[in-house]
Amino acid sequence: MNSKLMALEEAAGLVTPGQTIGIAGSITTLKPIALVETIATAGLSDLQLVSFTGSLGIDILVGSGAVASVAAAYVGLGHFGRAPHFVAAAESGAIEDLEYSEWLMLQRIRAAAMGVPFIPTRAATESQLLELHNFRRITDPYSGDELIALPAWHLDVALLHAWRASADGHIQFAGPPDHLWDIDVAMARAADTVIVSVDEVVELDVIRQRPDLTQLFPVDVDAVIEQPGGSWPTSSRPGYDEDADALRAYAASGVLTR
Amino acid sequence: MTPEQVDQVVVTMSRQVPDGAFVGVGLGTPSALVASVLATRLRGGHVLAGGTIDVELPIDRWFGGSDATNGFTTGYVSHFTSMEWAETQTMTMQFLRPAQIDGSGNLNTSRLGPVATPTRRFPGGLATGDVTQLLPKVVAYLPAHRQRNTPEKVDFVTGTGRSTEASGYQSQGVAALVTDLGVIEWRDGVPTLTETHPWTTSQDVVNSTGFSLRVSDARVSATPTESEQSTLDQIDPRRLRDRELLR
Repeated sequence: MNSKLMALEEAAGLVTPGQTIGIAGSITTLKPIALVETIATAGLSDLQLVSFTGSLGIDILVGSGAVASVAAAYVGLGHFGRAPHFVAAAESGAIEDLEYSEWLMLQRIRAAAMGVPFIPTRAATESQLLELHNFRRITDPYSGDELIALPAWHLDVALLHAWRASADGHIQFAGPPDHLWDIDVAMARAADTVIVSVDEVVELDVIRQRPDLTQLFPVDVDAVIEQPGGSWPTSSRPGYDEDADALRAYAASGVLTR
Repeated sequence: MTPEQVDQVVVTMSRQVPDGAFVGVGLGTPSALVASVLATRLRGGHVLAGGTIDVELPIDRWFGGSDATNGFTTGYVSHFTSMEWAETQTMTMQFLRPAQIDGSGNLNTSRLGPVATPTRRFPGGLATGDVTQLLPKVVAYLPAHRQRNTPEKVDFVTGTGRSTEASGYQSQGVAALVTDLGVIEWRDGVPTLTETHPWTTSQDVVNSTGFSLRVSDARVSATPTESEQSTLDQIDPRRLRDRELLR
């Protein structure tokens, strides 16, 4: 078996300045926080972050000064509050704030995962969000309708946290409704380098007992990091729920305190 | 609003849901969830929220993850499927709560002030820009109807209020706005006051609305029927609806 196990610092070292980095997970669920914290101390700059429903991961990296732009359909801490560093940077113009609608973002990621150059959509054609992007309009050659052609979005790196994995890169999530697994899977397949932290590394025999939970495979994954609690203070079912006190404190202070 | 007034607003929202609708419900909108479940319980249809479909009552279960919903839902839906259901108009309706709504029904859930250096950046519109064009019907709601959140023009158009039409494809855009003061419906593109609540007058609504309003023959919203009230209490016995609406 070809092991992809790496230490946190070694995997974080795969990220280089100026890269486009996808951060998986959803708001207070399965955010790869241990990885993000390690990257945030690496002295990187000009990172271009992509996250569907962003939260702590984006905010920690923006707070570290490593970020040039943020693309997301949401950045906040849910009912715990706003993302303080992101809000300050977006309101001052310190970062390029590339707000997306959900479908504009997801179809771009899916186009890359599918290996097609673009995906057409009827969504958001009248939204002012389009002013923030350079999407081109096309005419449907069959109906004559005007659509937007969403270009495939190839990410340099995707950072994920999952429940468990084998050392060779079979990744298992607990699944819905505790996690929007399909978006994270598409983000991984849109990325050149895929780094996954997991709460537990298990033998392949354990993976085989629940093959229905395997969502990413060795062909998809470049690095596996065993990091119990790696998405704290966001949740990772079935292991742990979100840490409400830590999230509330972060929303108020912008500091993550263990 | 008093708890009784909250119930009347939620019931008024539910009456905007067409018979047999398939309603999508977004993050952080418990009143929309209650109104959608109420309508579909009484008049048929389905509700999808948080990737979970048609959860058995009470609605508290919807917020508890798989521990709460296993055994009480018929299925989980991936987010791609949920958005595909929007683009194919299998999903037919959604409620949205904007920061601002204007006289054209445009919704702002993004930012106030200049686009590049906003005075206030909200967390973001999620699918607002998508569903206003994809779904056959969108209804906006505001817990506190004021001039400042109903300007003539929104600071930023996250989602258009306009109806759109293409081959084999029609969307009403934002069809109505339900608030603590009444109901505004867009008729031929013109915002029209169609209902006041028993505790408000047409003049109250006009005075509290930043955009121009057509006022003609507004009726008083009907109080909840016995069936609506009892179903509402079964759906939401712990009054999650108050989180957004009670002030």
